[in-house]
Amino acid sequence: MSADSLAGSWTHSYEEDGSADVQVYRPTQAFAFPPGRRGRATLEFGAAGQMVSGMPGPDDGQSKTGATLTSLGMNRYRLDGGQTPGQVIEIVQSEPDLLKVRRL
Amino acid sequence: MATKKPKESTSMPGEAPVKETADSTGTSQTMQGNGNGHDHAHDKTASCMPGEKMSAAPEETGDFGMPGLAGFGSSGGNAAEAMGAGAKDGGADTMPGGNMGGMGGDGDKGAAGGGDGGGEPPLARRCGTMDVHRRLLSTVPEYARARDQIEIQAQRYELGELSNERTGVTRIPVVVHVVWNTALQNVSDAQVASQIDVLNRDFRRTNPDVNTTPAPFLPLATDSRVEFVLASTDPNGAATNGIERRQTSTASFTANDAMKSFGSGGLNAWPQSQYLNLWVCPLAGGLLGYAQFPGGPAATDGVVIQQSAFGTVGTATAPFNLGRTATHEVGHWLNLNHIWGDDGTGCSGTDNVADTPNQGGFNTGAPTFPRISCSNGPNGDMYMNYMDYVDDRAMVMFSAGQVARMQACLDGVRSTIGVAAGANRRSSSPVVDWGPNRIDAFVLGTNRALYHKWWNGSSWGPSVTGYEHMGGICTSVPQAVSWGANRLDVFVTGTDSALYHKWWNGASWGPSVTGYEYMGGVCVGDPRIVSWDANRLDVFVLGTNRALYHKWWNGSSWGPSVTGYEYMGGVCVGQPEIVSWGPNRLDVFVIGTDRALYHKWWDGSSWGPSVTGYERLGGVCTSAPHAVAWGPNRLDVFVTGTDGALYHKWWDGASWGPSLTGFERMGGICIGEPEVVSWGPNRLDLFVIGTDSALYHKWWNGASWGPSLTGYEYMGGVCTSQPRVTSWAANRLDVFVTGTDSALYHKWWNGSAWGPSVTGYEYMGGVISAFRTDVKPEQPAPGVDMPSAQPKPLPSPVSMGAS
Repeated sequence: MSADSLAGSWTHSYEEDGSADVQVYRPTQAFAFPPGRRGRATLEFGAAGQMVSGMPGPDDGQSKTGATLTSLGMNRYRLDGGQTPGQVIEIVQSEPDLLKVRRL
Repeated sequence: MATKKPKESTSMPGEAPVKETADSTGTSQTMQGNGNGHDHAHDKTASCMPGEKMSAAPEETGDFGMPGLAGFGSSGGNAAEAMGAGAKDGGADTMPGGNMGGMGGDGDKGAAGGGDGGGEPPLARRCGTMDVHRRLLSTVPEYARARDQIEIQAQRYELGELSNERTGVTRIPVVVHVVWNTALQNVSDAQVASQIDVLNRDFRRTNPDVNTTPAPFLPLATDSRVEFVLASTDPNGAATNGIERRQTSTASFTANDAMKSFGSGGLNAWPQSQYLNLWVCPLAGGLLGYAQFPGGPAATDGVVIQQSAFGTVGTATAPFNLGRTATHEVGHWLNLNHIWGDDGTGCSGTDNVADTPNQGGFNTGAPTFPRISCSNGPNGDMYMNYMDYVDDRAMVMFSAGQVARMQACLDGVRSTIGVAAGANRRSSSPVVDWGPNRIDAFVLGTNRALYHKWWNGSSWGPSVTGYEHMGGICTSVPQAVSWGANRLDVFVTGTDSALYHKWWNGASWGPSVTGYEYMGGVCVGDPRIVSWDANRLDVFVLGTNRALYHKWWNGSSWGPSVTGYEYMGGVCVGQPEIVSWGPNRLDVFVIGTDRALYHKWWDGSSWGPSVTGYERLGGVCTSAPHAVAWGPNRLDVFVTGTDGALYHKWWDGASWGPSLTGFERMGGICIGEPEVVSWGPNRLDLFVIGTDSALYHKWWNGASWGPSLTGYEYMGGVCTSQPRVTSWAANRLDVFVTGTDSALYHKWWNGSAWGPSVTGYEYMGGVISAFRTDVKPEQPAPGVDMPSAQPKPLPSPVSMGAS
């Protein structure tokens, strides 16, 4: 699977997280997230393996950091740069309206 | 106040006494019945006042000259008219006949002196820019006003006001940028207003649900002393309603600030130095809102609120439909952190506030007390704090420490924003304060010219017993208001009974020290003015038909015109009273010909019960109404009854107490008009003159009346005017009366003691002919002493008058 197939903005649908290490993401614009004060993390996949990770900030906005994805095979990618350089994520499931990510 | 050069020393003519000021409170004390004149058939809202001839009333809207308006109407708009003949350009004088001694007291008879001197540097023309400047000043009013504002701002810096701690209430102008995609998201003005109301309640701790705070935390729930008002002037100086709108092609925004720029589908920020920018738009991802901490880029400064979590009506949706998202985000904007410290669920994070308990993670929903984390028992998390993540109905308070942090922000990085707002917006008075430790008093001399003196924080100007001559021949008690720091607007009527206006803009008197702006009308009694916002004035007068008339300054022009008036119906006995408990809110009280109390109000969009209608509030009143608002949606009204006692009724935000037409009896036998002020939430101070002409005082401390419901504190003196009181800070009172020598006398409460003593007065000179609605010659039961701190247990509430 190519990271390019993940293109777009995804938002953490934490209500759907099935296990502690797998996070469920939904399309930021298209999915009807229930309103809540708790902020949601975002993942934005761009061209050429670029990814911007957004984390809820202390002002309820988002602090964003960019990273480059390097494919390791088996749907696993290493983050180069960003807040957690070297971290490996696994795309557990990828559908047009669903993305499941495991942080390894 | 800027120094003024004393002009020639004018010696005042010892004029023969002029006929007394029209006593609009009705020196005739003819009363209906024997004090029991209730007509319950009228105990409904929206009744016309008795005696009102509807057929004779002009149309309900439009620009009317007042009845009796004769030849003066055509000269409208001629500013800088001297009033009547004999206006003199004097200044800094001792008033004629001053220093006649008299009043019992250990007052400080300070030496008379000259003005506080100091000439102003001459204006110099330096280049073509000044020509443009002068041309604009004379031809473009907005430019002149903008220059005034700049000058005022400069003065505020010069005075050190902005570098000092803000001791009072800061009122912050808000611009709401509504960025909408679908029509439903284009939230209504009413929805915007509902959000502003919530902010004002929450930040002033007048939200009714604050009482749901668990007992251990309730003492920490604190008034933030911040208020919000939709901006009335845009960055270019033009009038605005504080709301701007744009349809965008963006279906929903994220937290990337695109809504804050026109180029990315939004609306640009207004200058952060002056405005709180509040964007309302559709937000993706379930995001309710976000903020920017102080110190960030100006272009993105402000808060963003999801349209469905904005305000309390319209698109607001539970459980985020009580407007608390904006309260939370504005808390961030004023430098508050999340209460759990933003460290996930750990116990090491801090919100930089000492009085909030250490807390693990955030709370959601509506928790039940106590909720323990981080070994913070027995009281646990302060989850009901606005800076947690609970539902709207569950967050009800800021703590004292959080308030200190917000005020530090306002003293520091946001020091340029907002203007000092009084604890309340009361009717005009001869005595006003535009800021902490500042008093301005206006009186008429025996020549009926206007005179002015002021306390600048360290001394009286022009001297303790001296007065600044301000010209005119006045036929009303001077009425002054202040809508901002170093701003004064003074209104009087002239010998032609027309209304006249002059103003202090922080640098000079307009139209001149002794000149007046002609405002038309033929007025009976004193004009009354209230200002609910910076650069906003609402003026009410009675016409010769005793109907109420209204005119207003909206920041750029007079409505309905400089000399025109809006007809508001009624046949009023005595002076109207106007208070404003919040932005774009007015409450007007008058006495009808049946001597009952009547009420009408402006709710921001229309007059209730109608433009010319009144709500009947009962009673048989022998004084004009005196009202004060100590908080949003709170009103306290005081009158005297036919038995001379003081009576009280109140609006608590939901209903009138003790009932729509009932009154609480507060004892005493009062001569003339009572005076009421409030120096803080849930605080009232009342002053009356007793049958011995001494001053008496009672107070509401939030829990009970002092010295008792019907008792009074004796404060000495032999007073010949009603007391005039102003409060420039919490727990501060300044009381002014005239003595038997017609001189002005002053006493004050400094938070711990009365000065110069409980029964003593400071002598302030002058021979004052009008500072008052006169003490009536008719005095009930002469020789009956006013009860002094001796409660008379009487049934309460009772209807007014003997039954």
